[in-house]
Amino acid sequence: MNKIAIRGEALDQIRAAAELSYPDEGAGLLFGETKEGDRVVAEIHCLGNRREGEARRRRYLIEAGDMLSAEKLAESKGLEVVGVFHSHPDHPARPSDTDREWALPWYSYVITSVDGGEARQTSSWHLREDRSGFEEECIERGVGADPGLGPAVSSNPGEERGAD
Amino acid sequence: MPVVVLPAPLRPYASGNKDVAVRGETVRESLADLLRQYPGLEGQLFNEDGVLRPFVHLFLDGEEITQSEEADANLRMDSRLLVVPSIAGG
Repeated sequence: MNKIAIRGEALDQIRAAAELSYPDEGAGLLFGETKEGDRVVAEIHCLGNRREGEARRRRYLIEAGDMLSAEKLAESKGLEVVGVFHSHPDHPARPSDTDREWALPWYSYVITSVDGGEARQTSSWHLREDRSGFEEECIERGVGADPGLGPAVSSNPGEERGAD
Repeated sequence: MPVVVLPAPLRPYASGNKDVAVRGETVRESLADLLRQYPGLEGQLFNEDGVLRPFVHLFLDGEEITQSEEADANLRMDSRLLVVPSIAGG
């Protein structure tokens, strides 16, 4: 099983963002690095769920324009977008068919289940090469803070979702 | 030559390259040349019907172009065609 190391503060913020978005799905991006097959998530970038109305309860959308801005922000920090986090309100932390249909290879997909407003399980997955499904990744909670890194969370101006 | 700029998830299908120089006067021709160079990208960019997957967006010289515009939009020799994914699920 592949491993993904997530900075402790960032992992806490992923779960907090999931709770704050409830009963809607919350989502954002993972900023980090990939070296020799090992992935490290340094911080998260919270984004607004662009789905509208009731669809926000079961679906999330990060628009291409937001992705483009986020990629530039990550690059300015010496990082890159290595994946996505989103929540499953009252639903298991496992990828759905909709997740598979929209997934891209290489990214890590971190999913947090939220039951009644409380974050439960957080898991990570990557898409198989043939797009038939996902392989689970082992999350390692990072210890300490890299003195070269900034805060664990950033967000689009005017779209403060999740904890700061 | 125009350049197609690939997002990180697609670079492994282009021998790790982020920027790929392509031949073509239109977006359609440039994407066709991209696939000639790196056939492995086809399944990631296009569905079984040969249509761009819904999460694939194109930005030509800084402006997003719609799928109806994309095919015949003209490229300059210094054009940069960014492939940018939208992310969705649930």
